[in-house]
Amino acid sequence: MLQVLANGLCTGAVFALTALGFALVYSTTRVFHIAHGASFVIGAFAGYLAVTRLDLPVSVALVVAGLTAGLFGLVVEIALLRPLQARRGSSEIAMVASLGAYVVVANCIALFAGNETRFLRQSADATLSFSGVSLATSQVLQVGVAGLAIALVAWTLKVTQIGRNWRAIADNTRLASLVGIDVGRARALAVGVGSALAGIAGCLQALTSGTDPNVGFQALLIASVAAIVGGLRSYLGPPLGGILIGLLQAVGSWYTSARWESTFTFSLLLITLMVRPWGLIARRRRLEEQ
Amino acid sequence: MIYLLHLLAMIAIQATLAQAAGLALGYGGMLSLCTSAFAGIGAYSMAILAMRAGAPFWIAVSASALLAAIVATLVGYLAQRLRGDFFVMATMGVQAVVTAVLANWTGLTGGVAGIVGVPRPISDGRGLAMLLAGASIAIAIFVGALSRSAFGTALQAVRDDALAARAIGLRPEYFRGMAFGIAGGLAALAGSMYAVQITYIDPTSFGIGESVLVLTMVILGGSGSTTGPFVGATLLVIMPEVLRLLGVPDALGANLRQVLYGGLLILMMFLRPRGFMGKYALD
Repeated sequence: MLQVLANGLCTGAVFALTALGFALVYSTTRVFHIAHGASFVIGAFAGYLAVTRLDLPVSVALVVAGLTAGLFGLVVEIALLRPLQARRGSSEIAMVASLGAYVVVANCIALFAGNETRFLRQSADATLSFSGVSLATSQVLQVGVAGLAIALVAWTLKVTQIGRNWRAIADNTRLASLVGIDVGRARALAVGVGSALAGIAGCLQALTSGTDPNVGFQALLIASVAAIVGGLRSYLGPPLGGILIGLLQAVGSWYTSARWESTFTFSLLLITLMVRPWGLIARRRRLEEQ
Repeated sequence: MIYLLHLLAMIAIQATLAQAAGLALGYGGMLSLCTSAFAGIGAYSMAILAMRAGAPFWIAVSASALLAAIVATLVGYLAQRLRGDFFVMATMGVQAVVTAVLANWTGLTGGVAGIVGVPRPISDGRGLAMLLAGASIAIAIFVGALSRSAFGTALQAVRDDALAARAIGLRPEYFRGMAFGIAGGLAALAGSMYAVQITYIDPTSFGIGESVLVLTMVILGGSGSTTGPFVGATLLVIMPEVLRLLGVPDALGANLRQVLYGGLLILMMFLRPRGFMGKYALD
């Protein structure tokens, strides 16, 4: 059982990272960023190419994955989200465009790389044991890197001026621009960082379970569920939701079968919506504030 | 000729799906990404009722549409708690769960192998294509009439301003939930149409990709109009055939097609967010 929970924690760490990125993008742009799934796949394939073609070590591959996905996020923000929102002030139009971007990216990757599952590593990696629980090194790497990245973003949000700007924009974009925050630049940065987190998460997932051009959609779904379950208004909520989903999937598939993973995830969403629609962490807001 | 009849039938089926999604989006303001999940519920329950329980064809079709409508009403009602974008995500969740059930409840659905040999009401291919085309036109007329009825106008009032609608005594949850339910029932009819045309159903025919495809049709053709779904469906059914005629190999074709669909979605958002025939723009 402890082993099951540990495995759940490792997958949960990847979900947590994706969810934090998703929440960062959502809170600053108010766009349900479906192409976040594309950032995830781009990260996974950038990491894959870095390791298999360029023979780079995994640590460098993670950086490459983050940079590539971050760059992609920036392009999407500048070319799609910003102009569409500026023109009509509509987040639904931007969401459909984001969906279009996801479909284009996932299928372009499939066109060039094929639809097969690819593994970052050919050899099985060493296992480490901690008091009866054995984990592969890449699983430990998942938890470590994800934890580090989440801590870094949390620190940015709490302490630095950039983070304060992000929170101000999330709270009230117009007011933020009135007090002299360069909303355009801060938004672009937030989307870039959020997408980079997804890219790193994609690369981390590719380390243990391999990747194919279509993993992004599942990753996006889980990230958005995690963000809702944890509470979109807080920055600790989405990662917490991600870990919760990881644990739930691990325990759930231990008792039944891995095929029902997505069913567990969405039952959690349904229960949250019925019982605590504002999320686990965020405090309830008055209607006027939304 | 058989090829043309098949294309006609596919256009009729896809147009009906688009009609269902267009009802939810154009009149209810609900962007749904689980249209093909309800089509799947319809197709599978129709096939199971007709083949296992031996129900007469028309009863199987009606019962399956009713079942999907009930499920969809529940989904629509519950998902009202989510505003805008997160409603869409809840529908994606429903889609994921339905796909998982279709693929994994092997005892009932046959799992990934699907169900082979769905009975046809008319064995003659020409007659069947005509029946499907007729059904899609009848459903379009029904949706048009529904949009002009008291229910439809109330639904549009709720779409335009839920708070104002509530103030004059219309319950937004009721109208949205019912509209989503009707859309689910129509999608289930389209699923049954698909099942009798192809006579073989499997979970991949009712996946998220199909739901995105239906949304693309609705957005291309335009929501809030009865002709829009036909325009969208015709364009998207013909496009792969044109690609094939241009000599694009089938292996690349599937992905290339998706790239084109995605690009079209982005382009439409910039040029004409309400679609070619649409009256209602996303907002």
